[in-house]
Amino acid sequence: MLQVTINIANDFSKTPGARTKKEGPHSGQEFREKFLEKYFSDPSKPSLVIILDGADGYATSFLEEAFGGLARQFGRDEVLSRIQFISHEDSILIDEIKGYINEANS
Amino acid sequence: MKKLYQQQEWKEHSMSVAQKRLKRRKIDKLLRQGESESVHAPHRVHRYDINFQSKKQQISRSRIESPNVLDIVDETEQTLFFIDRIVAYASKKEAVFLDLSKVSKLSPETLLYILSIFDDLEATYGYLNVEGNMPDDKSCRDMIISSGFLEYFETQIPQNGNSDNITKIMSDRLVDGRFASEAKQFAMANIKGKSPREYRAIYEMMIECMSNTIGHAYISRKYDKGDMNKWWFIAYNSQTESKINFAFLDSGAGIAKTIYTTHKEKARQVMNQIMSIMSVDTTHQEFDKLLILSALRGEFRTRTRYGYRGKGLPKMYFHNQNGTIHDLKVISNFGYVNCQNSQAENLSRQFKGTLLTWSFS
Repeated sequence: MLQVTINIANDFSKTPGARTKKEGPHSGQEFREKFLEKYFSDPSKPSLVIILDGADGYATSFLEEAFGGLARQFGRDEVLSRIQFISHEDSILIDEIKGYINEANS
Repeated sequence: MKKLYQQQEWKEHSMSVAQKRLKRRKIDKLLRQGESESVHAPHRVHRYDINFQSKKQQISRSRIESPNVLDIVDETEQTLFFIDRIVAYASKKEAVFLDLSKVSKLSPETLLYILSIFDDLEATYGYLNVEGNMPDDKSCRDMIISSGFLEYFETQIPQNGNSDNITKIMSDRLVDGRFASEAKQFAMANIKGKSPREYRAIYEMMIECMSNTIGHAYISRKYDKGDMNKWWFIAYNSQTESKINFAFLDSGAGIAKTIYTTHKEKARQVMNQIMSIMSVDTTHQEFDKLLILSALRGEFRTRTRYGYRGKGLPKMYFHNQNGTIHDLKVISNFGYVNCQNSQAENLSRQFKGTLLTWSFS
């Protein structure tokens, strides 16, 4: 199975922003549209490895819009089954993101 | 009889309004594009008619003497009273002279509030004529210079006072991680030995604050000031304790006016407004502090009514409750909430906007 690795700090930004593009640069919406949606729309259905280390931090709105927003589009189960998160610096972050995915349609 | 919207006058009026709106949008867009280029504030320096050393014009101006302590966080009422006096004169377009000479304690948070109020006055009246002098107290003078406060004014005072103990005042109209990164770097330089997770909390706090400002503070038409819809930020080292303090301010509608409220609460807010117009007694304003507390505790106060939204303030509250940050205080409208000891107070004067302060040690 095809696997794609995305390192947010290196591939997107070391300084992730807020929720939407109109709020400012490097938003969760921008990350979702540029990096996540294209792989989820890909018929070969690659699995994704998201490396969270190296960034200055993640606001709740960024994480919710990127991953929760993805779950609203493609479904919670699909997102959880195809994305693997890696965070050596802060393992709690992974639980937090999974929480946003699970509550995406609330 | 012709309907109103079919009349020529109405059509001309509509066209004029639409053109003005389009023009403002274009200006806003240009400003936004220009402002995202640089990290350091001020991006747009508003140079008021101010000269902190001028003596000759003092006679023709209304002189406002400052109290000895100007601290919007610890001496909120007294400081608000002083600033309200400036607003009262400035709103009548009177020239004002601020006598700060006797100030012996001045907090950086107060400087943010003064700048936001001046911006507000300029946006509202299109004109502001203020002069002032510097405090005699050396530490206050040094702090004013190091904070970059004077960069927002016309002055002859040299402004080369960079300090490791205080950041320059930052201000912008967008959520930009580079500002948050700068705040985090300041924390890392001044407080050693914390975990990456704890430093990241500073970054997250900053993004949440900026996001709340852009997403909510100026959302209502009444409070939308176009290119004046800004946030202000400063961080500084405590002189007496080994901790650093952060302050984030916007001059928007305030938390109580921007969160979701039930019909019953809305009715109570309207009643409060009527009572505040009719009487000087402000004890009925206790509602604001309750709404702030409720928003901090995450009691489903998001305007959007989506369960997945409105997590910013609760996350900040969480960081304070688990000890990552300390002394989280929120001042907004007539409410003052100290999350450290869960105390909520009423203010007798309205704080225009929202101020969040916290410390890191």
